[in-house]
Amino acid sequence: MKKLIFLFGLAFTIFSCAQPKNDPATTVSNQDEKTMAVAKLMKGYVDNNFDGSILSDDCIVRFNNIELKKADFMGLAQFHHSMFDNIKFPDGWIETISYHGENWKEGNGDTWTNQWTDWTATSKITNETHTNRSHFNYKWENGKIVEVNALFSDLWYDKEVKLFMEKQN
Amino acid sequence: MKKLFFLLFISLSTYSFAQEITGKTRTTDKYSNAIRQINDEYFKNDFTTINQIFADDGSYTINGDNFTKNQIIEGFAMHHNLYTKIKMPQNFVDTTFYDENNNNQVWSHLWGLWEATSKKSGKSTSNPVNVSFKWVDGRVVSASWIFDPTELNEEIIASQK
Repeated sequence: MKKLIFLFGLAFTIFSCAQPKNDPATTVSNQDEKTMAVAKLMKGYVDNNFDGSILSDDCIVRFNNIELKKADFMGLAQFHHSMFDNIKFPDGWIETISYHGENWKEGNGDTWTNQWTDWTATSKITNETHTNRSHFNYKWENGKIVEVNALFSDLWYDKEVKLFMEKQN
Repeated sequence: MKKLFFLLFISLSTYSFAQEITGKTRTTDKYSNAIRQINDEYFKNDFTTINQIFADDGSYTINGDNFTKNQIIEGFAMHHNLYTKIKMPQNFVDTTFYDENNNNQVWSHLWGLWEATSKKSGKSTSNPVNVSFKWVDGRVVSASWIFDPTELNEEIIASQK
């Protein structure tokens, strides 16, 4: 038994030395818990069951040039589901980067999750189906998302919002 | 003894998967510097480096729509007919070198707040943008720009009146 414990200890020591914890390189992962949390967050949006518990209360959300509060962001899911059918937002490529070591200036130590995907939906008014190439990035602090930046073309969406508002009046 | 080696193998494999490393990211590498140079030249209406580095038959998209290399360059040049003071004071470029599980791909990414002043209205405008560049053998073979083109389209229409 002692021999077994010794061998386990030796193996872990060698492996730990080969991959030092203080490695200054900035690493990327698409399998880590933050990447998975973002995938789960956005699946909630698609399912109209948006759970914002992973977002800090004072999270800043920017959709292109428009700044939103957390509550506005959370409310978008219901709003979109009232405007569109068949909303799709597949994971696409999601990765999380922890910036360390290099001269990252003020960004040193930051952790960001990046997502590139296509948003697709069918208008309940015009029955048009549209796909928008999208990039979302999420900044993490103390296990919470504190900033979301979303980039995409607003051309089709703005047209749909206008039609939707006209129909409401 | 076989059981012992099996247990050691399992424990090391588990530890290895727990590292979850997909690649490493740099900012001071030659790829990131080339993207910065392309960007800096664009502000001066100069497309020397993009012409050299972008593959002639590459795959280029703006918000998911396909364009040729020449169309991309013509589009950037057209910005200078519409705007003055084109700049990106807030920008960040990095390059990720993915591991063999991801085919050792090399991708540079640019995030920036594009700023310019309309020649027609004199109005200053800003727009956030993300661009992804895929590198193969020292050339960009694929690039994807994502941004909201609403204001740019309005500026194009206004310039035609």
